[in-house]
Amino acid sequence: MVCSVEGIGEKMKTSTDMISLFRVTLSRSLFHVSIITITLMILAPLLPTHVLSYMITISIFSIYAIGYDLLFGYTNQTSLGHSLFFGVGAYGFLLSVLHLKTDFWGSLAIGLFLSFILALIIGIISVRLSESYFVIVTAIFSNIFYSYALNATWLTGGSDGLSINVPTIYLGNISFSVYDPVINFYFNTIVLVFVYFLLKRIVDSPLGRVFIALGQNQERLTYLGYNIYRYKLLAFIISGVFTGLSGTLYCIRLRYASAEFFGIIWSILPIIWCLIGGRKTLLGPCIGVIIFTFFQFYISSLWTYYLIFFGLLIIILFRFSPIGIVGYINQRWGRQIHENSRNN
Amino acid sequence: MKILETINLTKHFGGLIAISDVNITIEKNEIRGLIGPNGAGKTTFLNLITGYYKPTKGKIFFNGSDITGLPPYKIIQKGIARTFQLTNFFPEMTVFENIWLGINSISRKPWDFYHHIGSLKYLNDKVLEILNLVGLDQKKHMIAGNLSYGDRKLLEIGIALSTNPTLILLDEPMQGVSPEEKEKVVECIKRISVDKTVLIIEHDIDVILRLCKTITVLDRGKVIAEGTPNEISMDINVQRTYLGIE
Repeated sequence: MVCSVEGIGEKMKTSTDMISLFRVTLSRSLFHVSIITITLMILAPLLPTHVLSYMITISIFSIYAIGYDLLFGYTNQTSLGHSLFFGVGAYGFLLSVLHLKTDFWGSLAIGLFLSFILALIIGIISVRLSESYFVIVTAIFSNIFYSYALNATWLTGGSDGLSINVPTIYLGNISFSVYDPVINFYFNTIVLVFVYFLLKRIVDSPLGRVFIALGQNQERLTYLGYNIYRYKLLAFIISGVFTGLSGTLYCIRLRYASAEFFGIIWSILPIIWCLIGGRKTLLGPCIGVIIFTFFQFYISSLWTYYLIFFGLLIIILFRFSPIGIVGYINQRWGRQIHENSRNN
Repeated sequence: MKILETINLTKHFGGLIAISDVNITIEKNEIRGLIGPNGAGKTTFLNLITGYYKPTKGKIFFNGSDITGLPPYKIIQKGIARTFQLTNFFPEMTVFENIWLGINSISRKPWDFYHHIGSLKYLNDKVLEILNLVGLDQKKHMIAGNLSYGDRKLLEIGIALSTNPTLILLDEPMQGVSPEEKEKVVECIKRISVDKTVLIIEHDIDVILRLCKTITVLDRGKVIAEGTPNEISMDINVQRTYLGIE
């Protein structure tokens, strides 16, 4: 963490005055993220399986977390309906493999397409609502799907779920199978890095700035000539699709999906990830995922009620930093860098 | 040339008549003052023009085209900008970013998701231009929420300017501004009025008298007088409203 903070300092000195006019955030340190990722990927074959499994889960959840953060952190809209896209992404993949017999990429595309369509429809209905109604309506939508998935056992397998054989991935002439944990790790990490850079691009673009402004003052933005509902919808769709992608990858990893994928817990988890790590930073949610998944993987075997530890941790963390870990680091050191760049 | 014209503009809130049959015509490049006691309907009038409320009756014409009932963002895109009575901006963003948002909104691709914001020089140059105009170029790095009251008003005017409007509506630009900073705001309004039409709502009569050649007086939702500062101060209706002379 510390090294990435220094990273901004170096970058700020070399960057033009123009860039320094925009508020500095920690997520600038892409270079270090890449280094860590590449190191992990080189080390992957040497790691024990449970560590690999842990890291695969981190990758999948991180995609969910940073996609959700675009909506929750940047545009400041709290959705409790994202489990819907998570479940739809998973079932879109699973059902197309089972019934349509599509190949890997085809099924993945269907999963993503379904979450896109649903995000579009639910977004159009809910983005016009003010804050609390938005939360309620999105929560209702995901609950409708949850109830339906529980009851429609002929389609979803209910809470027992359905298992599949994940098709072999063909990439040109090369073929590989996600049944090999190392391959699976590579696959998920590459997708995560791709998603991260894509979202990074969006966040640093004019659109990203509008998203941030949307989170701060919707009225003023309207009176600057922005159709805010269009931008809210856009953020909703982007985050919905990435959530769908994460659901698909989770289904691929478990080779299984159940109605529980639609459960409210999958809507609450991303909020927790974002809050621990720090909203409005792309790195933050990933760190939230790393911490939470650590509890799920390692502490849970020590004691069934491990979430009590986690709850305590959250309370202590928010006592010292209500804006999360990365938010704290940004505030502590990011501002300082900001001041320095102004004096130069 | 008429830039803004309202015809029989009326707004009811339930039984309350906030604005009734207001006909105001604003000429191009003038600075018009809009005064009146509290609750006269000045801000409601602004909210009607910018689409925040839909009028109960009446029409609003801007540059000859009917803008009655359009959503706010479309009215802004047509070239009307406004400031707010209470400061209203993006408190956690820098001064630069605040202005940048307006410039971006009228750029060709406000939803550009590919280019880095730092690399779009043509946007950033325009931001600096406006910052120079309102006199905030030294404070461009500051977080907007940390500005003084006077500077906040300047920033508000800058944000209003950023969408390149032909008509600017200023809602009490002097409110809460210290006497020392007042001069800065007045100078700023003078500078921007060179090629823009300005409508100012203000309680500070001195400022109105210094800036405006024509003043409109509203009371209880009706226009009770309109004319030069001299005519207004002689007007019996205005005296009655302000001084309570019977």
